[in-house]
Amino acid sequence: MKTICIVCPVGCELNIKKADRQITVTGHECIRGRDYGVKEYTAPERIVTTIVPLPDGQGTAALKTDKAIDKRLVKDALLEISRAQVSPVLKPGYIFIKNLLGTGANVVVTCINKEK
Amino acid sequence: MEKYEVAVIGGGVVGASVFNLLTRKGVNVVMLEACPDVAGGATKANSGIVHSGFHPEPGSLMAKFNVRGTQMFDSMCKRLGVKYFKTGTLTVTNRAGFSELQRLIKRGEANGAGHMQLLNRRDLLLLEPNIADGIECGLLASNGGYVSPYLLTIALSEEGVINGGKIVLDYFADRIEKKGKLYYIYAGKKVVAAKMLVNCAGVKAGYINKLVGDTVFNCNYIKGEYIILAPEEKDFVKRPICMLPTEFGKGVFVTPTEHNVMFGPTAKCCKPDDTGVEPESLDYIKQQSLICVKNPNFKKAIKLFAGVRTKSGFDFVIERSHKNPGFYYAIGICSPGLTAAPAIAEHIVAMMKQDGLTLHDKTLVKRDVPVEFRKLSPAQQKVLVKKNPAYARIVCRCEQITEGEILDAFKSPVLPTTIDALKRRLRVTMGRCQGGFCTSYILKLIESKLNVPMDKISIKGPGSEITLGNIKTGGIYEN
Amino acid sequence: MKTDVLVIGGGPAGIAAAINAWIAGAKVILIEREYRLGGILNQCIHNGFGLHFFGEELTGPEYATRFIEMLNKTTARVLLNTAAVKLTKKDKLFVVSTSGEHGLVDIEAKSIVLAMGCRERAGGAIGLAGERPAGVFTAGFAQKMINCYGKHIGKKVVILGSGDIGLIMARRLKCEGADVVGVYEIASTSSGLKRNISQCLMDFNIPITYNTTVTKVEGKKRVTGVWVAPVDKNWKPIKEKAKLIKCDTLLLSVGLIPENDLVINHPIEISPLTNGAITDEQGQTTMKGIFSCGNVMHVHDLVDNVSHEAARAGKHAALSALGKLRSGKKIPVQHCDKIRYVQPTSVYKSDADTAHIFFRVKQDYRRAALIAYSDGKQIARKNCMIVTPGEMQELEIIKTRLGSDLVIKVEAF
Repeated sequence: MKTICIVCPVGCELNIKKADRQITVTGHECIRGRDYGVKEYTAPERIVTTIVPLPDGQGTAALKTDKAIDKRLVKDALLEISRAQVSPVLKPGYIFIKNLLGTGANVVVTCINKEK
Repeated sequence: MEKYEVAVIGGGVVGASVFNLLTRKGVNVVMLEACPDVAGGATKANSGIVHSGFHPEPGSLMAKFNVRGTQMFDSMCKRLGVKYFKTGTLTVTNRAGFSELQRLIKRGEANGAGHMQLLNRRDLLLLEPNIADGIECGLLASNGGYVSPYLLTIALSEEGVINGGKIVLDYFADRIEKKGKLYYIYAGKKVVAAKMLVNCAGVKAGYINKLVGDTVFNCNYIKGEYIILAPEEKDFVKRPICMLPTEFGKGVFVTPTEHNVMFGPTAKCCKPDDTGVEPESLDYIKQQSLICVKNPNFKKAIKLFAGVRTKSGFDFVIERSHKNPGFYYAIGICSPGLTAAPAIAEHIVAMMKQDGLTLHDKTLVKRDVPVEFRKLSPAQQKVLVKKNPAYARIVCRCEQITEGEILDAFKSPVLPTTIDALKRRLRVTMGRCQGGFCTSYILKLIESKLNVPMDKISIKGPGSEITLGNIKTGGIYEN
Repeated sequence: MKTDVLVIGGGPAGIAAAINAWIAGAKVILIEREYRLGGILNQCIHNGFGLHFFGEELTGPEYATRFIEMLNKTTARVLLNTAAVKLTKKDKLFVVSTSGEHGLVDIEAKSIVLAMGCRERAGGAIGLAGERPAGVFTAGFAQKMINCYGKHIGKKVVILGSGDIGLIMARRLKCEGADVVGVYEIASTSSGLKRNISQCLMDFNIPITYNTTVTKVEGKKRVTGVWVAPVDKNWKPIKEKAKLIKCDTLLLSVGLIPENDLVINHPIEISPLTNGAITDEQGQTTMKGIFSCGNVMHVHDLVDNVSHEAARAGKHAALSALGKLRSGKKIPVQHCDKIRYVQPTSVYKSDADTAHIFFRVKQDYRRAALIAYSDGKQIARKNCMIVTPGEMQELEIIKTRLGSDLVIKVEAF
């Protein structure tokens, strides 16, 4: 499998192979790249970021998952976030959803945008 | 239903000139415009050149109204508070074109186009250092210069409203009936009635004549495309510079505006509503402009645009109808239509007077000239900010337009409700970033001050809204 | 109002400059035209910031917040809703006329840090032909409408240009339910980071087509489609191969231009390659007392680099204001023709312990060694499997190794 490492901006082109139950990664320039390669081969994960509108309709709350979740769950995660009740007292750091879809990741508020 | 003495169809520079003159003569008049703002058709895409009058064939209406229009321009613009840059215009050519320039001078003299002067290369360079290397001689026509075609039209319209006229925007006439002594102009369910009707509908003038059941003239529609450069290139030329006219028109100009410099127009036959810029035209404009000037910095281009003018034969068609008493039309108003507009209005109103319309002189109510905050002295600026702190809030950073000026525009007698309407009045979104930074603030201002929901705010009327609803539910991942 | 250092712009560059000018002992004022600090980071809700600076992955607003909190611990004065309108010189002082919340105020400063960021290139600048309907957005404007205003801007989207914001917005739009038809790039490689091709396009099955551009927009009121055509070697569209793609939105991600308009009439040399001021190692422009950093100096792809660069500029602006700026022997930074530009363009032999040279290559090079030579000797080196124009490169120069000249080269290894 070939992929581009997304851990840092260098963008190493990784080549990932599995032989004898051993996963080997080549093309990485640092150890984080190797770990990413293995993870990407076995169970790829992504951090999810999105927004929800504030209840008064005047702006948004920006959100992120506080750790990467299974890549296959990204779509469900976005749906889950969209279904959640938006509290009027959101502020940065507030946990918007605990243990999203049982992944262990929380959805947290990163920013409140109240455009004038 | 509202009844008027006169209805003017079309809010371009010709319609607005007729409307304006009628209001100043105490006539109860309405102007009906299909777009959400005046100057919404060909006028907004006019080059803004005020021609001295040596182009048209002697004896033509074009010649007559051009020369008369030029004479009227100065006092008209002064009265309205519109800037008219009376720089003269320059027509330049290589040596081979010298005799043609002499012919143009003769024609200008026959038309009464005022002072004209032949210049050699040395004199030309003193006036315009950026003329092309091959240029050997030129014709400087002192009567003429440039003006903002849409600011002029807006000012004519505003003064008309202040003096008792009425303007209905977004009024697209789809049926016209004559019953008794009245013309009924329908737009969907809306209807306006008037004793006299003036058709100044530009590219739609043929269509309006058809609605009235009057003579339909053969018209050609000719697209003119332009390239505008950023304000820092403004001083590239000091006056409109053009090449020798060809059978297709006056050729590609290099013309300054108050804040920019632009190159164009092209002249291509097209459909009346086709205002798209063709990709190939860019190279054409660039090449053609090199006939007149050298090293224009097209890397500083910020906008391309196009407009469509109507041509009917070789002259303007400005007549009273013989079939339908009280109906007047101005058809085929192409160049020099902007310059001729005040004279065309004078002529049409004179015909209406002959036909029994009562005119009387009345005291003119002056129009408030909009504040241009960035052009005031620091002392004047401080006084204004003290009165209204909104003048210290810059909304458009490129052109340095303040919130105060936008709020002023919201009090205008011809209310700007679209982004384009605000743009033409104030230059917001017209600068280097082309609205990338300020459009969001302008949307918020229109939303809060004019009470229009953001999703209803458009660039140029319904169908051109910018935002398409709230993201209601966070991520809606559908595909 | 008087100060030692005036920082113009409250984005990542301005904040870092203000903090470090204050640390260096100067009285500092920072002006920001928006109602809050953070600049464009506020609309960059995605993650990927701060890996270099903080060793962790943050979103844009979080990265900004870290710096804003640091700034709040200083006594630097922040004026929000305040725009710089004019820069003039009065004897040895600079006077910046501002307009905003406090009315019209002139601020006198001994030194200035320019940190105004950049703007997006719009359609007219790239000769985008056709009608002028609604639905044509620059990527950053679209990002603001979606992320800060919570507004939908289109249902079926074509993206022209593969700048990072365009790629990020491809993913954002997809996540908000839009159909992203494809990304078209006139060059043969992306101008954005490779990781964004991976995580924003490949993850979401969004195709990218190189050597292709949009030639014309269709639609009078709203975009109804765009004409897409492959280009020849000179980037001229091949008209016969143009095809119409139906869409209601066109996003432009076709380049960023430093916003140096405030200083355009001053003797500040602007590089034709970066459109930003040419600066020395200390961040000083060719006009003494005026420093420049961040995207107003040259467009970065990593905010971490901006923070470092701005910290240096802020510190030296303070030293300049306090009369403590050391200079010494200036060595120009030369480079080989595989490199498009370097910044800074000169370093000092002695001032700091190290100097950081940033540069961009002209095209992709595989197995490339980035080498700094001085007096013919290698004094810094980095081996890369691949370098691309989209990624800014950096070499750290240890000053003790620096001889009489400095040349940056890209060589095969």
